[in-house]
Amino acid sequence: MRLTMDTLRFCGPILFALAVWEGCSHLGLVSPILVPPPSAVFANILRLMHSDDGEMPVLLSHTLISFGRIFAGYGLAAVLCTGLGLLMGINRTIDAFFNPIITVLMPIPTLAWVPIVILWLGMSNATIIFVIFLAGMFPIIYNSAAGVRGISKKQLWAAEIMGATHHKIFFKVLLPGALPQIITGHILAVSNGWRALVGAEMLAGSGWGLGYMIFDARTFMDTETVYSGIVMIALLGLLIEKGLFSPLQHYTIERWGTVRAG
Amino acid sequence: MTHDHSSSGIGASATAKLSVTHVSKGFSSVNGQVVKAIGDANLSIAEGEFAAFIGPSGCGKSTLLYMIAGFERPTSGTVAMNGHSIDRPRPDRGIVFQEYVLFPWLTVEGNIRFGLDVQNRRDAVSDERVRHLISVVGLTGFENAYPHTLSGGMQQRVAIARALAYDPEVLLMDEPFGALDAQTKRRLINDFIRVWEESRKTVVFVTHSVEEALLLADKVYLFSARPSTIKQVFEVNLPRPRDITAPQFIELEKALLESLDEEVSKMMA
Ligand SMILES: Nc1ncnc2c1ncn2[C@@H]1O[C@H](COP(=O)(O)OP(=O)(O)OP(=O)(O)O)[C@@H](O)[C@H]1O
Ligand SMILES: [Mg+2]
Repeated sequence: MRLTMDTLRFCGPILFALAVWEGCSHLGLVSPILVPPPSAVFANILRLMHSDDGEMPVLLSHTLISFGRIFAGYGLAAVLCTGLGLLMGINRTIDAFFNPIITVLMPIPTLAWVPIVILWLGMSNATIIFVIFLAGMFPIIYNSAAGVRGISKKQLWAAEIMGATHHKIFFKVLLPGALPQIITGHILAVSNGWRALVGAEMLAGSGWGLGYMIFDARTFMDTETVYSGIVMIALLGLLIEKGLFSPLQHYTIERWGTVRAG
Repeated sequence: MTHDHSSSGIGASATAKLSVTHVSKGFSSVNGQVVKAIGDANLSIAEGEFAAFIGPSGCGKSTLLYMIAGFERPTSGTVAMNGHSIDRPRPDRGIVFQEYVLFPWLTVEGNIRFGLDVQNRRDAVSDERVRHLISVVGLTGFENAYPHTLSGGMQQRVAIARALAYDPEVLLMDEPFGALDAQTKRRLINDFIRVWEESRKTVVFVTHSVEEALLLADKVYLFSARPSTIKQVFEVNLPRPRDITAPQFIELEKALLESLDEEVSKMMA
């Protein structure tokens, strides 16, 4: 019951916006080529999701490949950079070393790296995954470090006087204490990852991926497929948010009251 | 009932549970100036003594408590427990802060167990101890609640149980009832006296309230204005639970308030 109410509340405004868009299309207020009506886009998605010869439907292939790249690039950033960020928050020397490097690199738009990464790794999957990794790196490091620094001195003192070793303080105090910010970093990493993915697939696309599909369809003025790609990206983003981050937040920081429940 | 305590010999007493000998503490501020918080503090607290620290705001009560905890080091002098100089926080001491400082990601029981858990002391005895503590501090039924769902008074009960659960020799409390309303405070003080009488641990209790100090402590250490020394020690030889309307209580209260006011006005000057 609660779930259906939440779903309604979430989908209502989106459905409303789609209905307005549909109406504008039918009234001839917008060009059906540049802004095709949602019904045409969804029909196109169904068409692209259909396959006669038993092979995987093209849209599904593009989607799975993009999803896999996000998974690999973000996963790599999650594993390597969360730890580094936490260490920077804990240890002054580590922070003093990495902080200047990160400060210099952070403002560079991820896509500026693509040509260089193509030179290193070629027009390959590895290039795209690496670019997604780069996109996720900074938000994760920055937020994890800030999360640790935000933990109060007294909380650490309390743990210490009760006999917690460094190792136990890390897992029982620093990690859960920094979790709200760690999660923020990860959410930003994934959304930055999507942006980087689409750009990288356009520049280094090896024939597959939603970014490549959008780019390719544009050259044929196939705007319905362009929009289909955009819709799939939105749906995947939603899937990750509702399937991964929402439950994670629900069972941790919302339950603990360290953030307000949404 | 009061005596002057500015001589240094007492602080070095060999039988003391805690001894503070010629301790000074300065902090360097942002502009490089050194603020001398504690000038020359000397005191000794006996095993099983309930000691209260009182003094003007900013005179260094918390600072001295944190040095006893091992969180801070004195600029000069020594702070010792059982005759050994205190070098770092250890679980032979427990701390309760004014702001509770619970771990929000742990339940009430998880918080109370924290010390036992990190010391790998999970057995039938410690389980029983935790259960008993939860009941004496009045938290039965709330074992699985998260701290943010509790009132301030209940959170402070959790903090007190957490500090006692692993059975430290000394309990350090920094204005533990300072953030609570008068009603809650009175109930918590009464409950705390009961809990304390079960174990009669050595307690160092920082407070702003003369009444609180006289309700709880065996000895009240009055800090002078900054850079502070221990100006006076008041012994409270009254049986607990104490009656705030008893003539001896009122007499002590008056003497303590007078002496305290003198230091507060020096601080303002
Ligand atoms: N970490 C610190 N850095 C700089 N100055 C400090 C620090 N800690 C305490 N002080 C200074 O030392 C003095 C004593 O502080 P302390 O907190 O011990 O006082 P207090 O007696 O506990 O006061 P209150 O009753 O208001 O809690 C104050 O002047 C304070 O500004
Ligand atoms: Mg204080």
